[in-house]
Amino acid sequence: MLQLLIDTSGPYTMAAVADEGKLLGECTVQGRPAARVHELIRLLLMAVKTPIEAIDLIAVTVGPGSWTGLNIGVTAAKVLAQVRKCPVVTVSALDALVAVHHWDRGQTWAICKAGRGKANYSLYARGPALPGLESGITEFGALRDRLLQDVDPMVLEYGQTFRPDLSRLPAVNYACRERLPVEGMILAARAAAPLHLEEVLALTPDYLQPALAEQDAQTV
Amino acid sequence: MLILGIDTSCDDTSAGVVDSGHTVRSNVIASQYAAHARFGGIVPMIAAREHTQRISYIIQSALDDAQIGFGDLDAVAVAHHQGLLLSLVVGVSAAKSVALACDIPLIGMHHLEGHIYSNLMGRQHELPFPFLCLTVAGGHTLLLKVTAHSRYELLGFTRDDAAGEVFDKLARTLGLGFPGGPAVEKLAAEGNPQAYEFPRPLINQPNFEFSFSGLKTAVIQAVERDPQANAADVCASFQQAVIDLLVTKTIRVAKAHGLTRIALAGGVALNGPLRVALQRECEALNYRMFVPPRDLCMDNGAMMAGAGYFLYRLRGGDPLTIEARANAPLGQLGIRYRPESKYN
Ligand SMILES: Nc1ncnc2c1ncn2[C@@H]1O[C@H](COP(=O)(O)OP(=O)(O)OP(=O)(O)O)[C@@H](O)[C@H]1O
Ligand SMILES: [Fe+2]
Repeated sequence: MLQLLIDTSGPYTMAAVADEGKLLGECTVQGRPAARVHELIRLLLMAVKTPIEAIDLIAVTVGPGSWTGLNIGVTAAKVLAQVRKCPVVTVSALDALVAVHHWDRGQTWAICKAGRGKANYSLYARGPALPGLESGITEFGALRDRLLQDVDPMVLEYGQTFRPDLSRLPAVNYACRERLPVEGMILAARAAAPLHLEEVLALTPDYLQPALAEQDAQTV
Repeated sequence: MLILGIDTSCDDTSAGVVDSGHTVRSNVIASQYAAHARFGGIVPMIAAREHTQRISYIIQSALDDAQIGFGDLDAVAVAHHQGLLLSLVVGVSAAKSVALACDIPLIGMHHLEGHIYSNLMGRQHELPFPFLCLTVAGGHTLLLKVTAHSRYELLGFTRDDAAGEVFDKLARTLGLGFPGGPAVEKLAAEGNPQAYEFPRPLINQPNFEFSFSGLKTAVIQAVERDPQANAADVCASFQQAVIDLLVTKTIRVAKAHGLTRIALAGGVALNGPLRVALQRECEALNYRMFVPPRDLCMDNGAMMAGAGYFLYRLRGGDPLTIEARANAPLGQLGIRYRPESKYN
């Protein structure tokens, strides 16, 4: 079962190939997913000597993360899947982050800036973390109050850091990651159910809620 | 040679299949009017998400209508230059996936080349080079001399607003909804084009430049000053002013450059009275006028597929690393028709 993994949610653009959960190859570059993601996939497939016809499943990050990046990555994945008629699994960037982080002292909070004082978050029970207990988007202030009241939580941030607002949190309880770990993505993808072709055709990044764009809707 | 063309440069998600630059096998356009209507304009972030949601369906419909599968495609063409960046990237990503998965050439193009080539599709021999092309749409008002494939000389352009933009602005002010062009044209049909004497900026200047901002201000003021104003008369008088401006300058350029074939392109080319007025002038001078079929005037994927065929024969395909750009020079000679700062 050969899997192509695509992530364009953050500051890095990643493509990887895995076989039954085992990593066969990975290409990651900083930035500019629009220019690079397809070329990365092409080079990677060449490097692991796998024709695109051999891919059985495509996994793609559907957020949270960059609005532009997610549109590019999800479109890339769904159209590849459409042509190849192969299923897609969608992966939460926060799940991918948490999947490789072992914290058994309390709950884990994975968070990511959503702009305008809001944050995306997912909450996970003390290991094994996946699947999460709850997730959503909320005012950062309210989220901070909740997680600071938690008993010995782990706070994992994706992308830009809220650290100054979390300064009451001991350093050991906090980490920020700019890059999604490919192993985490593989684990998160294995935990998700594949979408059928009809669902693939309709796929839109989960985290891109129209309401978010409407808040500062600027027309042209 | 079967080419799939994709255009997501603004608010329409579109794909079409064209055979060897001439025969339109399918042309599917999904507008996003509903998603943007309550904002009175296009919201780029929403446009991007809508494109992502629809792009696969639109491509599938284009293939189904053409009664072909992905395996029958010989190349994929996409508008990657000119438009809303957030929108362009979606079509480009889709086109690259088709190219990669089908192992066929990718052809990246300037959106305006699609509009221009919609005149050559199906009638290449009827419309030989050189010809004059009045490209008039939501973001452009250009007079181009088309001397060969993808070779343009910039003969005239607008100093400020594009003609289509002013149609949209007037429609918004009158509460006619979006897009404005068709609504203004419809209402204008019931009005008197002589009711208001709106300015026709630069019309008597012996240059080839357009300016629509003075006209825009005058029309909007007329509506705001007199809320009882007869909207049909305003629209008719406004439309007449735009037509006078476009036709006068176009004919002046054609005469000055000895061009006897005039093509019309872009969304405003859908305007019936404009077509009639330009046709009348052309007949009087024994010039020939060309207008694309209606489906090829608005933003659409078939025009990209048609243009893609000619550009592919001219310069081959592009690597998977091509990037979307909101503003980019046009054609092989890199024509620049916007302030220099826009190209950075
Ligand atoms: N019947 C009509 N009369 C006048 N204008 C019209 C008519 N139909 C459409 N338009 C105008 O055409 C424009 C849309 O054309 P088009 O979709 O080609 O523009 P665009 O792609 O947004 O911009 P551009 O092609 O310049 O980058 C709108 O401004 C619209 O109001
Ligand atoms: Fe256009």
